[in-house]
Amino acid sequence: MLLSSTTVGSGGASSIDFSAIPQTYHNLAIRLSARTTTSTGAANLRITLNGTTGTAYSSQSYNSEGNTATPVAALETAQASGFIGKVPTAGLTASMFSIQDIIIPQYAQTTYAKTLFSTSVNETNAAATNNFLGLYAVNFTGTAAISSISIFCTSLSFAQYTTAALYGISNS
Amino acid sequence: MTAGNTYTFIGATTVATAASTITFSSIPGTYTDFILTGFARQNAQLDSPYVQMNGDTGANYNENWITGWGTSVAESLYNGTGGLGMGYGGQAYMPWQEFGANQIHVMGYSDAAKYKSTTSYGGSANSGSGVEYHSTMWKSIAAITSITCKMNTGPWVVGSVIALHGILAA
Repeated sequence: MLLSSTTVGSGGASSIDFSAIPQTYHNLAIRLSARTTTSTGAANLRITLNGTTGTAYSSQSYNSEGNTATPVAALETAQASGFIGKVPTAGLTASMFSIQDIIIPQYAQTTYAKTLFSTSVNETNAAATNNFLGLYAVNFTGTAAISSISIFCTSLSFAQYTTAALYGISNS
Repeated sequence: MTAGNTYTFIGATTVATAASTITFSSIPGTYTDFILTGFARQNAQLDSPYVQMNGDTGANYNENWITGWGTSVAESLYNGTGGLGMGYGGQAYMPWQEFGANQIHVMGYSDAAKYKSTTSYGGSANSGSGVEYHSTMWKSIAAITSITCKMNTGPWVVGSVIALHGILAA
């Protein structure tokens, strides 16, 4: 079930936010296609849940970039947000947007922490760099049901035509 | 088309006491694909949940996968394995509340003319865990009517959840 969707207008947007998420589904899914209005290279896409920052997030990433032979993996812990993908910035080929496909299983349970998984593609029509194929897992220490989600690139704005959709995956 | 028109709930299991297997049987053949989503935790480090189709425990599965854990990366091809991996889950030494997120997508599961191709991924973010992506195949043309979820080492930990959804017209 499509719960909410948004398309960024000509003025750009500093974040994409979903709030008042109903607690009646098994899992959540987010489909995102994004680009930023400024900067160069590929920007890091981040997520916060329930407005929580502090040190609540750990992220494991795996990225294969362009024609670089060896992918790069990294684990970051005790962060203020989770790392969920790469996004082309204004300095890269025009009209190129990323794709992120994110699942959040058991988002409404209140006993355990939350884990999400993101697959991310950032194609920029360049052979060597800034093309990323990535896998991301984020652990969020909060045990409360997830009722709001914010997605952003730190200190950057999403460009016009950036789109995001939130789906609830049924439980009956 | 929204997910409300495509994802149909078939069943789910929440582990109340540690279990070695989670099985979905009598899967209806009325969908084009199905998706199995896990909120998974196991007892062993760098271990992964995996699935077997129609009770087939033979060496009839192929896997090509990529993985990253910490700062390490790897890729590998295994032919003739005993199941299809779903990516890392939570690990026993991690804080007790932390689980992995996993998903396996089985295309054309009731198509009796094809071997069954799947994609799967999963992971958790803590030392000793990581992320994985699998391209896999069950070398059988039989329609899939049951799927069994297992761990390589130890049981599914209490609190783990597996949900099965059918997809129409994917």
